[in-house]
Amino acid sequence: MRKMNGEEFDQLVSFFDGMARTSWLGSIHDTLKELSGTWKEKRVLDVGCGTGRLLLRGADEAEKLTGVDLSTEMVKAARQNFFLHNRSEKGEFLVGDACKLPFSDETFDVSLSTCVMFLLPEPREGVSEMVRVTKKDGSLAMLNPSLHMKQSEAFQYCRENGISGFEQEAMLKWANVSTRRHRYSSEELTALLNELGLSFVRHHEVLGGLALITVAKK
Amino acid sequence: MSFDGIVTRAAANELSERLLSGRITKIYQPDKTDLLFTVRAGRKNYKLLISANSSFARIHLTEKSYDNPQVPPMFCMLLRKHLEGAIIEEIDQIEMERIIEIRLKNRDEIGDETYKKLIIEIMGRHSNIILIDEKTGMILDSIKHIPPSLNRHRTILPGQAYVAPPSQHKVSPLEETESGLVAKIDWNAGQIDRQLVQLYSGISPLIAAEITSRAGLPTKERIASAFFNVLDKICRHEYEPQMVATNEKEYFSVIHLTHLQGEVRSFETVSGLLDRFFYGKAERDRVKQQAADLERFIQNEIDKLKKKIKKLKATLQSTEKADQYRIFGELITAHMHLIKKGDKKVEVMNYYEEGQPVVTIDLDPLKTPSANAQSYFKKYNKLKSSISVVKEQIQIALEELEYFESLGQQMESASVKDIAEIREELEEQGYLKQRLTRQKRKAGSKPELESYLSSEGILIYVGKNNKQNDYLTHKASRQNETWLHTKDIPGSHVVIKAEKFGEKTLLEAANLAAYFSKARQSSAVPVDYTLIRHVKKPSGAKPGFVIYDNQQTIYVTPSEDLMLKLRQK
Repeated sequence: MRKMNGEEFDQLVSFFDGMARTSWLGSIHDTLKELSGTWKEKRVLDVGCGTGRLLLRGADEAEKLTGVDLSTEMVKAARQNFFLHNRSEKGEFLVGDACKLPFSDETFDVSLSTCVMFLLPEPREGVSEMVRVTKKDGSLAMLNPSLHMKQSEAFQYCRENGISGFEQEAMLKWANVSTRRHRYSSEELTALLNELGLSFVRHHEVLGGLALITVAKK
Repeated sequence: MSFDGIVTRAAANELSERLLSGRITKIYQPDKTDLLFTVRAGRKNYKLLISANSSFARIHLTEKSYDNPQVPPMFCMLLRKHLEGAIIEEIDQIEMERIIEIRLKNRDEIGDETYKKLIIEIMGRHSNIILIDEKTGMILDSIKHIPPSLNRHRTILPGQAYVAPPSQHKVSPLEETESGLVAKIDWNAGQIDRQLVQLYSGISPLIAAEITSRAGLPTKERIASAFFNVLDKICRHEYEPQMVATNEKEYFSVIHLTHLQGEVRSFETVSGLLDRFFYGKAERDRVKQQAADLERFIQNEIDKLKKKIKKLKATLQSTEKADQYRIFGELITAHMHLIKKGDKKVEVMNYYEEGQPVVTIDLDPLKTPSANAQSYFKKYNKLKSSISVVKEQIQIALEELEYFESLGQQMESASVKDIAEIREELEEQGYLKQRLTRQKRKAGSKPELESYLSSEGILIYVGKNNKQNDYLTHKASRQNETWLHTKDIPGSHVVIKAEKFGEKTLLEAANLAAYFSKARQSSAVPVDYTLIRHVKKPSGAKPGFVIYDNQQTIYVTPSEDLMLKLRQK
């Protein structure tokens, strides 16, 4: 499986920003934040932060929000986004590889990653990096497509829930990419996370079972 | 699994250490073959369980509680008359046999001292508990009666003289010497373990297998040293109560079993071992007997439904042929001029298909050509309209199947009371005939729920059948309490009775949900949890059926030990 480089995402900034603002991904972000526990006075990391939309949700409560993305443009956009919302002092954005995070061990209380791990050629490396930089008793939350994720199923879901236009397009694109990359069952994810030394692994189905939020404790 | 002479020796020894000169304060008979004594000895109360169950005969102290019948059976009342307030004078094993005699001192109505003996014979199907008067040697009564028609030599009926079971003519292994052992065994015959069982009393095949396994080679010296190695400890009353779970079976023993590969669990006392080993087994056995008809009924329904679904699916498949009939009808109409009344078949060109092949259409010679076309159209329409009906029927059958499968799962872990409720539920739904003799239960009586206490001290309820599940989920719980159920696997509803609790409680509750499900034997069972407010019952759904959302899933591996630890007595 080919490893993607940062430039490939540079042209997609507006697409990803738009995707993060869709109603469906927006509500998934809300759920994910809720499931990852309180961010109050916590140090939060988002691996593959895109334009920083997810982190922005907790800008008021968290102590420090850190985002990492492979794409320089994406990081720029994220900084701008925080600046526009007057939150520049809370956010810190870096260009970096998910498989080689530029942080020392046990830095963050909460580590997040949405729609990223499944894109990596070796998701295991990415997850173990997240585990490494997370503090003991910290939590880890991910969003990944489940085994059911397929373009046809995603289309069906959009039709049933009245999702159309760009919102539908974004979801279909995600579905299409995920069929070519990794999809997970909750069972496999549990086994993987337990192997990496995490405990209390929970899963929450979203989009009618097409995707899976996984939360665990270190 | 063998309650052999050696275990009996260990049990008798332990009982006499604890219970000697104790007073029997209460006597119950929870079951046809079981007795439960409360004995007060050394300022402590002990519960002594004696069972003459045909597969689980045993005697040990117990910590578990048992349901007693409303009206005590005859034998129980007789024991109360003779033994309530009696002092335990002696507890002895007869030789190395599986017989224990309890000598009891009591005062009769006049105030004279009398001595009674309670003889517990543990002999598989022929196990018995017999009360005799020591002075006359007469049987006062027994838990099982054996009339002369069954056994001429040993009649066990009130008023008969007590005759001990025939001697096995075996040697006590405790008094054996090395030269005696070497002389008795036929070293050329092989099968040393079987010879040991046949020669010595109290040695079960399990112990014999252990001795030969420890010896390794069947030489005289090695067998003798292994034999005395094992027996010395037993002679000195040094026991190592333990349970070994191999892949096929569970074993228990009071010596260390080296020849079995499996998980070993040690216990402090023999009673602890027996209590744990037999827990649930005898109960399950009793439930099985009482509920055999119910179990058979449920299995029959499942089989019937499976067959029905198969048939319906076949019907659905045959409707695919419907289009063929329509085409035949059309072709007959188009080629009407080729057909006369009385023709058996006609060959026509099928211009609906590419290449226009020639097809042969069967005709009814008694019908006119147009009537023949009509009958094909009729068949077509009939099949067409059946599709929706068949699909609906399949759906109904699938739902029913799911319901019966969940009932089947509930039977697995049901107690006697739970069975009654399942029966009642089936009666209410009209699957079983109402029994007229049964007195009506009071309206509005609540099902009793099994409760567990998490290690954080939070109450967890488990529904064991659909009545309890419905009551627990829809009546007894608050909106913000957490509800758990195995994901896509039939199982119990479990509710954590608190709005705030730790991760440990959640994992323990999930473990219970997995344990009381069809996936009891599996590992990494997915368990969904959500708030009660997200659990709904569709109107008209079968008992116990719910739909839920906003759930999260965790994976746990069910553990019986954890279940027992959390269980509230």
